[in-house]
Amino acid sequence: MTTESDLATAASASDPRTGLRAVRALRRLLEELERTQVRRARAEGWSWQEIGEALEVSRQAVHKKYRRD
Amino acid sequence: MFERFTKRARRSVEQAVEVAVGLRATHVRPEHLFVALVDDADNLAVRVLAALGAPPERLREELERRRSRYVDGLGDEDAEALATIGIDLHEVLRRVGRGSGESRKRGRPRFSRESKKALELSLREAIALRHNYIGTEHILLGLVRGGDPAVRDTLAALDVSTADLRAAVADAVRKAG
Repeated sequence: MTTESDLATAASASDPRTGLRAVRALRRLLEELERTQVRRARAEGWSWQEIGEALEVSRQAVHKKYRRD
Repeated sequence: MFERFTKRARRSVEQAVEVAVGLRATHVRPEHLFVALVDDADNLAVRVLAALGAPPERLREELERRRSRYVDGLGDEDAEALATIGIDLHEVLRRVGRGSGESRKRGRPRFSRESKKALELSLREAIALRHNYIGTEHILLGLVRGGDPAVRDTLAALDVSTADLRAAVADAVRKAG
């Protein structure tokens, strides 16, 4: 099995295919981290307003995205 | 949509919710559906997989081994892609301490978008095979087609390809029917 570092060395970061895959993975990671932190904040009693401010988005946007979580 | 599911298939779907509850997951993810299928001894999905060299205990072992490494929707491929730009996914997840914030506040876990997609795809797989019901074998194909990383990597680890699986299901149903 190829290790992550092997692949990292083999695939040049200047290759758009590699770069785009990294962007896609980064987007998934971002979504995941955001969800985790919003959940945590809610569990600790933060308001949607406070979470929105911390993320620099509107209260409505956060609420709409995570209210059902 | 569930009216076309066999009793066994329906039970697997219900069992997937229990799997998610047991893991304190917020959503019923495709890997939970997969675990539920595998745990139901001797359904057609399990028989087909076993015949392809992937017995339930090996599948369970692979899924278990991967569980800690998979976060919703992020798999080995993503970890590799992130490594190319200098991000160590596992280190990020370790620092974030994922898990502590994961427990559900209340209520039953809902089906994730990917799980719903996989169940829709199971219907399409049944139609493609000209079967007028949805059994555990179609759920299995739906899961594979849905492309969830945990499911995909688990099957890849046991050398089960999608094409083999589809052919084996068609074959098994023909024999059983």
